[in-house]
Amino acid sequence: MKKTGILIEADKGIVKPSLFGVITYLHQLGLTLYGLAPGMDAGSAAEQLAGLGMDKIIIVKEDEHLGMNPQHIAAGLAQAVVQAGITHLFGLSSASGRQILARTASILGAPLMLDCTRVDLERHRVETTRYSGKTRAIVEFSGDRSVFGMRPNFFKPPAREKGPAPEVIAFSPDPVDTTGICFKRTLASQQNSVDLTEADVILSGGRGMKTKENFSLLHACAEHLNAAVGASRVAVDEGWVPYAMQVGQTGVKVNPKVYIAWGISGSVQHFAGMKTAGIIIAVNTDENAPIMSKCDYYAVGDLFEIIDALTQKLETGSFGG
Amino acid sequence: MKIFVCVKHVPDSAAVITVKDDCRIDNRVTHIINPYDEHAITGACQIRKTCSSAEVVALCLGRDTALDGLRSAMAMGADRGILIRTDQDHDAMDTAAALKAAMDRDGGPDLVFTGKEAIDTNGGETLFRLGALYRMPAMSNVVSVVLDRNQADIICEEEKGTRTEFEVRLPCILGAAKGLNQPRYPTMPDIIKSRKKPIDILDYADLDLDPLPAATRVVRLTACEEDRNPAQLKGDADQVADQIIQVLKHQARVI
Repeated sequence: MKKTGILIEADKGIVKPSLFGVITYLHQLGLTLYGLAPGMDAGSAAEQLAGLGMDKIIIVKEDEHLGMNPQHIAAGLAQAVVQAGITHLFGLSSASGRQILARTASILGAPLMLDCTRVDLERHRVETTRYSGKTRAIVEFSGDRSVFGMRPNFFKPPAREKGPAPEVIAFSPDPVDTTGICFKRTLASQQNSVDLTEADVILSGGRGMKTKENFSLLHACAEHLNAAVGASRVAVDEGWVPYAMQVGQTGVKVNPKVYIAWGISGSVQHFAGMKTAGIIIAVNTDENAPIMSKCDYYAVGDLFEIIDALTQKLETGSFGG
Repeated sequence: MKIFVCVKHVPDSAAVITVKDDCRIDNRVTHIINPYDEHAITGACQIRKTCSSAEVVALCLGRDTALDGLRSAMAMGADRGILIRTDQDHDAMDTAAALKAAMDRDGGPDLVFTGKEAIDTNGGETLFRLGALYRMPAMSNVVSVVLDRNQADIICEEEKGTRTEFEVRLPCILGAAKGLNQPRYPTMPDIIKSRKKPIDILDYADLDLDPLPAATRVVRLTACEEDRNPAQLKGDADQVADQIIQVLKHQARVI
């Protein structure tokens, strides 16, 4: 049976929720599944990943001084893949996952397919997108090993049952010279507490937000929904919010269950970043804005009044059944 | 100091993409320099200012039409261009091997800039492939670069907008993100001047690259259909908010 690995991404020790659906999907394909968890605590990894049908968890040890060096993590991961005889390495096509997978694939000389929504290991094919979501693509791959980034929020998470915890083993990679990159420090994050690529709900603001200060209204509303706040290109170009928050062809590609566009006209480029959203709701004063005819629900009206009403209702929980 | 900027000529983000032969796109649409690569060119030119003997070379693997992209790169400030001419699409592994071969023929890089990803394939992997082939440090999503002798002090923007500072040894590969700078769009004199700048043309086949043991290939493309039927949420602000909550609660089940 093919031995496959899955990169376990965790945020402050918590396994990213998007991974559970991916693990279940791979398990259903009948693959032997090894979790590769760089720098994670063994007990916590076993507990969080129990009952998903994984065969083993390999804790890839990190040098504590180098744990923030991305090349160090990728080098350890690549060694673990080779050591365990893994032929197919999976992970999330999240912002951080894409980079670590690209580094690892480069070290292994293995092809990399990102944003996958289906894999067929027998026929060496995956389903993904090209041209910023304007086309669906079937990509064929060859080589002894392959690396895959699976689209976050696409694979349905399982109904969790209490199951056995997988065996956990530790792997200490040989030291590799990664001194060319030296981590200095992390500067304080200015905005989202939820990653855009993995958020279930995104509130995105555009030209209609009018000022930088008004974005705090979206943040306040987002808090009640555990939502991330995004923006259109106009809003970042105006300097209202940082570039990291831009959704679109030259920004982040997102797949939330619900995308609410506040005062966004909906250019082709913006759609390229959010067209895979489950439900799109548009609020705009202009009923002829392009987004109004390409969404699921639209409201014509003053977005500030609607945000206020929405935040208030969520705050007080004053919305019946 | 020789700074290479690897650029890609991609379909304009506003272009309507049509599929031909089930596996490729109609290439007759308007092509532009990949938007992130404009930040890479601008970043390289800013470094040239601080460094008397620096030269900025724009390098592109592409079809003949990519010469236009190289001309734009030179109008934005690159000193000269190299086109690796091909009539095919190449995956990131192939592309990195070709870019490296061309840079090596030209004396090799002291610093390489690229955009953090291309807007057609959205992989962002070529810069890491180059890093692995050269055994050079590679960093993506770079929003600040300051050269300090044989190292670059850089800031990378990561998920959720977190910024991280690194010291990176030169030579290295840097993937430019939007926050790096504001590209200055060329003026008419810039464009005229750029016509006199030299472009070397190499044929991909003449690079004599060893076949790679692994590859990816698009075997089928289909245009994505838009299939949403918009319904209006009617009423005053209060009523609209109520309906949004109903959707969140009952249809999407996120609250």
